[in-house]
Amino acid sequence: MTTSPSRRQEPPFEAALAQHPAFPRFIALKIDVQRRGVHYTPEALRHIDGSVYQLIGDNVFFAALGARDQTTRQVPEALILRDGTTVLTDPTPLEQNPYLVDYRDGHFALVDGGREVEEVDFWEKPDYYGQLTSQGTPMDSIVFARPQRLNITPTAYCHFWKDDQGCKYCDLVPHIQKDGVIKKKLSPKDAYESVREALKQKGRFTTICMTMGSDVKGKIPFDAELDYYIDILQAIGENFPGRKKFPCQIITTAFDAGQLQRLYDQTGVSSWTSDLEVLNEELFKWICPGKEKWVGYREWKKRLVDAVDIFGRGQVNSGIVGGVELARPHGFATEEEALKRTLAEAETLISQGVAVVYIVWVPRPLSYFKDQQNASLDYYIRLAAGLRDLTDKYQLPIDFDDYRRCGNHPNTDLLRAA
Amino acid sequence: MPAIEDIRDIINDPQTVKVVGTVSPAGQPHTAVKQSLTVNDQGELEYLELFESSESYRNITSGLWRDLPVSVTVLSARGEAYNITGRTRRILVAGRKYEERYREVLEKHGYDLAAVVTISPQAISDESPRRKFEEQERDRFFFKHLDRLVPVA
Repeated sequence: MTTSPSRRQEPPFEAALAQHPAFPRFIALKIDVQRRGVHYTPEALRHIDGSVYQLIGDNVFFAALGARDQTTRQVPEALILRDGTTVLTDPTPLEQNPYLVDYRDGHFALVDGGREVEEVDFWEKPDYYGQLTSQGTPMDSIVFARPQRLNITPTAYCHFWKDDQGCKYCDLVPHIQKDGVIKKKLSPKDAYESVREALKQKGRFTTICMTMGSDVKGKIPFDAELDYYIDILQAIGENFPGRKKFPCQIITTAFDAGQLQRLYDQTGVSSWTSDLEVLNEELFKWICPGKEKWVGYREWKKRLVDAVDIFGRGQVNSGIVGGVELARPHGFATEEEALKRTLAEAETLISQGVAVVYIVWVPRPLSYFKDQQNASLDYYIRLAAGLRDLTDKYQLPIDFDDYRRCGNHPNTDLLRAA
Repeated sequence: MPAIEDIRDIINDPQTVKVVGTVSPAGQPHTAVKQSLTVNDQGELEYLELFESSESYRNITSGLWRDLPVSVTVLSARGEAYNITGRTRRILVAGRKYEERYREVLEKHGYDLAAVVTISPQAISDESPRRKFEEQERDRFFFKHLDRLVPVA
């Protein structure tokens, strides 16, 4: 097996973790698994029961579509560790030196360098998978389950790509086009019925998260996107009669204050996320040209802060693609500088009640940044700890986007034991 | 040292009082009564963490992360007492087994459920007062008041 030269120069997991003795091994392992990806051994695949576990499917945000390993299908969607930490994984070819998922001594295990590093399990398939709505739509094609969250992706298209202004780390539209995963627009009735069916499984879900690509259409830009969200959310809300609000996160383009007020007033949604993706104005212009063109970095930040007055403190946040600030050729030259500048900029948001969460950047083969490499484990550990410390400093809760409600942000995983 | 199988019935008795002791990330000790604690088929201790916002849930998580021991004390209705030291093996927050326990809690108490916690026992000591007294009398010659040595008239 050939490993890329830069990966070979990296310290092994245990050595990197040893530099951060107070950082939880489980969260460091999650980061490293996301950073390097996973590859399933034939023995593991032989023991994975598709009737029990949630395997990859047709949802546009399913990890394996557009993954580093384009040949992968029918593997578990993600992992769950012994502490309950979830790990959204990216199937990765062996030559890129991923972790192996193997079956040994009666259990599944993460293996690195031939050594078992941790026992793992997989997400279980919910009861509603395989069922159809009254309109004949497969429920699992529109509502995707995490261990404790329902993910709704109403449409599969981001309009920023129309004039080639999609975000440079993103492969959403290219892989939809390549894989032919064009699905029909979700109807409110389908959304209502799918959520109703999912909620019959007691103890399975704690929240609902909805997101889709940006839609610039409307009298004011993004009115079309907003109207659609409102339609779907109102339909979902019918499952909770008598409740003005229900635990729910919506991840949208940066709506203006008037649009946000309408979203808050007309639906039961209780938290709002709008992703800046990278916390630097110049890099934002380069990496997210569509977002820059239609909103702009400073205005995006202003809208996040404005949203705190509407949704409340601890119910607004912004996601960043951790490590993309180091992308070549315009990214920060060193991890030291990237960390310092990113955390400083994050503080300007956190201090005003807007939480910041990160995901580990995975350079996907169909994205503009396909040939690049994500940051070191050391960098991601320090980013998670730095954001956690800022959250502590300003006593800002992020319950709606934590280890259980989301499970894809190392910095909010840490808040379980803060 | 007693084996977990020797005290399974005591632990699984609903009349037995069961207390789980943890330590916070800052080193603050914390104890909580966990009447749901039982010995499972694998010989591990298993109990329900009801509240996600609780100190014991935070501590049990950070304890697993830092590989810290957990202390469990049980006291039966007949006065039998044992202390079990172990390490958290698993914090189950999702899946069929979790959902089964969730439904039990919901039906019985109307509460939510944070997690099903599994602890691997590592050391068990008999803490019954009579047995501890006998042990002390046997092994620690100086640990006594002299008046006890004077024959009662």
